[in-house]
Amino acid sequence: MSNQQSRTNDRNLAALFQNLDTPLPDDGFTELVVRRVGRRMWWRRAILVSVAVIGGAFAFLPLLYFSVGLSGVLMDLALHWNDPRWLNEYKEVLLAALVALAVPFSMRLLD
Amino acid sequence: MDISDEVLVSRVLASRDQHAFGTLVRRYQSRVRNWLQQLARDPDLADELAQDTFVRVWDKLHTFTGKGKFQSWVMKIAYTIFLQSCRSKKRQRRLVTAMKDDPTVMTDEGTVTGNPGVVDLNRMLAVLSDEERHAMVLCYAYGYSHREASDVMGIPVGTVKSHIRRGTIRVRDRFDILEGAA
Repeated sequence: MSNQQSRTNDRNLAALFQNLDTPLPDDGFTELVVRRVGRRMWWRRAILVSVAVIGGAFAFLPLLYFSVGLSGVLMDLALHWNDPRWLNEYKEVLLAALVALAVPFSMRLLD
Repeated sequence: MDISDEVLVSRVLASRDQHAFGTLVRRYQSRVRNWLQQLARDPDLADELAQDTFVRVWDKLHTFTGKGKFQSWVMKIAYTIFLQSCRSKKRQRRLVTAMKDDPTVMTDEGTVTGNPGVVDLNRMLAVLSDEERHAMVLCYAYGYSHREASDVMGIPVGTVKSHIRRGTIRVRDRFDILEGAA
């Protein structure tokens, strides 16, 4: 098929197909979509807040015990930081804290 | 002056601006609904799919890289939504019903029936396979380049060209026969 024939073919086909691209009136379609999107956002926020509240309720007591315990340890640390007996009493905690601090640095060095 | 798609997209991404998103939907709803009507052949189902398309556009907007046209990206999502809906059983039943009711479906004798007023285009579409029809609608009705059509359909450019070539030959051959018979 020559180029001219091909171009004529394309033009004829485009002319036939152009009816398929007649603009459709919006008829409230956009509003419907925007409202649906807004509803989804509202639901997402509501679910997020509910999950946070439920999670908070479950975590409240354990968090309370943890913070009380932590404050006791910090108090001890502040009062007896230079007492060698303190080191003996909390040596596992101290070791765990040192390892936790060292791991990110070691990982970076290994990279 | 019209605000560009990119500016509107960045507004939606920055502050989840529903007004900017509404402008984008208003700009492309006609094309997307037309395209889905071509695919699904059922205006109600097409509108349902078009809504799903724009909701997905809202959800996935952060993945739009801005490399191609925003319109092609939306059309690609519409095509994916259509293909997914074909896989879902409920909609599949409706699609089959819509296609059975379609006045352009070929009869057993190999001729085409339909409304005489719109028969030319419908008769032509009826002789094409789905892929040929989709590729030809994108390129001839919406003026997409082969590359853009390949992006939308998720197939290589060469395959789009083959579909169009085969479709054109089929239309040319079958149309002559049908015109002669009419």
